[in-house]
Amino acid sequence: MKSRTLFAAMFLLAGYIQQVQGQADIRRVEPAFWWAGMKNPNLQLLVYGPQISELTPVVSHPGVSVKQTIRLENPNYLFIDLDLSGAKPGAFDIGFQQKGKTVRSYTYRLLEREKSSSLRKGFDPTDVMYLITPDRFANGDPSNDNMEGMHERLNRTFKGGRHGGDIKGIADHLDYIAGMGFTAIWLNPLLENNMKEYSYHGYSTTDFYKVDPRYGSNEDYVDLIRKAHSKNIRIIMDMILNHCGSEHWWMKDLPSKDWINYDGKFAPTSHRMEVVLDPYASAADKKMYTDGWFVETMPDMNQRNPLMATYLIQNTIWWIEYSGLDGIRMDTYPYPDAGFMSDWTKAVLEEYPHFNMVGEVWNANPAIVSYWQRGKINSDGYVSYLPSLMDFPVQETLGKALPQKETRYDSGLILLYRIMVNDFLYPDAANLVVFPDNHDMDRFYTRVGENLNWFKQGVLFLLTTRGIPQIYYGSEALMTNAPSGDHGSIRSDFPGGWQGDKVNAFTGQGLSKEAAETQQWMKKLLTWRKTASAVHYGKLLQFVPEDGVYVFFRYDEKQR
Amino acid sequence: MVIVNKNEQPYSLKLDRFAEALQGATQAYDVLGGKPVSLQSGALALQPGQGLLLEIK
Repeated sequence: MKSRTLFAAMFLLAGYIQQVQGQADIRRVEPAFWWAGMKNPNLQLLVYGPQISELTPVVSHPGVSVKQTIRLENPNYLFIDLDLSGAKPGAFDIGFQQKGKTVRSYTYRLLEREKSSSLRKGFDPTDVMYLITPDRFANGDPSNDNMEGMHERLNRTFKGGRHGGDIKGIADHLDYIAGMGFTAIWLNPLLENNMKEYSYHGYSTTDFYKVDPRYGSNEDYVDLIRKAHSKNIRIIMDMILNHCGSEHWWMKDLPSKDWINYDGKFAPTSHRMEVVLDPYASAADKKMYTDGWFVETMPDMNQRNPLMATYLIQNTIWWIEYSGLDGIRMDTYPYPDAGFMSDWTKAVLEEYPHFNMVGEVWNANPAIVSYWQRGKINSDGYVSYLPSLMDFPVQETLGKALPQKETRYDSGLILLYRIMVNDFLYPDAANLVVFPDNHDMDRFYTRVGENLNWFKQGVLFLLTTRGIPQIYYGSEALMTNAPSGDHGSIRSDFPGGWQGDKVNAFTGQGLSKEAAETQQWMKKLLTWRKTASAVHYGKLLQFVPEDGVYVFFRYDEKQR
Repeated sequence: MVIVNKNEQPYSLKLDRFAEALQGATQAYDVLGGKPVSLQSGALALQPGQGLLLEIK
């Protein structure tokens, strides 16, 4: 009884303090810190807090100046444009003034950049990516399975629930991944997804600057990347610029009416990605595609708002610089505003000219995929800076051609040959990411009817044709899914990632004979590929399939 | 040299069509089988459904 009274008294006191101190306060500054010596000297801070727009920011520090301050209809936001042209690493105070008097202050830090940060090399054709869904790979730290403040709790018995995989689980098994011969890891999104349900896939970001605590901390993520680099493994971050999660903090108090498309109210996207490049497209169709939301829980962000655009571009650069990334996989690439995507890729490549980014344009038509690659001359004048794309046309064709009956013209390997002919459409086919499957579709072994010959031929093709191969975790141990298309089953737990697992693919314990043999077979192939210069940068020469046999050569001066 | 073979019966792959790539080579190495392969007979005996990765020597 006593404590309850005390609690009530504290509650009243807290309310009183807020009242006497005035309304304006700082709850968030994003990005929370930055770096001195970036190529782009401009930095735009988003400051959030009750009535913050009533205050005027002032900086008195050498090399730093406030260029302008932007206020929106919501008084709880203030955007500050800083010019850092002459700034040195260090800290400075941003004073927030009211009637000439400083009433709030924020100490901002400019960090020193890692040496050669701007010269970092992105993933390339020497790499093979291992795609991991972090919730489903390995639970290295059961203590973070449920975290205070995070809505969804552990439920491993539910396919669409959180299963407890985390950053430590990945870090603990880097030796396995490197030992298999993989040289890069693409992690499905790790940022906070504080959604009420189905949060495990990570595509509903609720904080763009924070790793989900059920995976670990921002520092744990940075440590993972450092550790991966020490084992010559590159890390590729999965990013989503099209939408956020409906539990994102700003959804409760939007900066402006146009922050989220369709005035912040749900209207579904048509998914008709063709309209972006359709020479005859209607404005109505374009709006429905670009501005429509994926689902009600994924508000569609308006990148035509320049503040939103800058927020997202800076967020990407922040993660590259902060965590030491080697690449980005960009989700739903054609869905956001196309002009913005061009600005985004350009801005990233201006800071990091040798970086690599791969976009998801989920379309089986190479003409459409090629539209988005850097160097493509498009008849509508659209200029893209995106270096790499996911090769959905090859993925779709491979899974179809292998199980098909061989005929001279219409089915089987001839389709695979023909899809490769379409490479003439791409400015840089060697920089496409080739893959048999990913987290959104049937696992390849399932797709080819669990026929081990077809599975191996498909993998052999992908690991030796042009491009940068990607393999989904567990494929090496012949993971399958049922029923077809079931996302929760496609993203099943990696055997051996959880204490008490009877089958352990890390050690080989309990694996079927076929799975164990396939794992060793793939390891041999991946290890060979690591030094196969002809496969990395060599030319491709192919022969029209005949009698159910498709032959191609990769060759350079040293190898064929 | 990569061979994707979907035949369900043993198949003899004649090599003359690939001369521009083989350039008279008589020896290859089966990377995944870990053994040398002779190209001297002008044909390769493929096992049913077998994918083959050869380094041409």
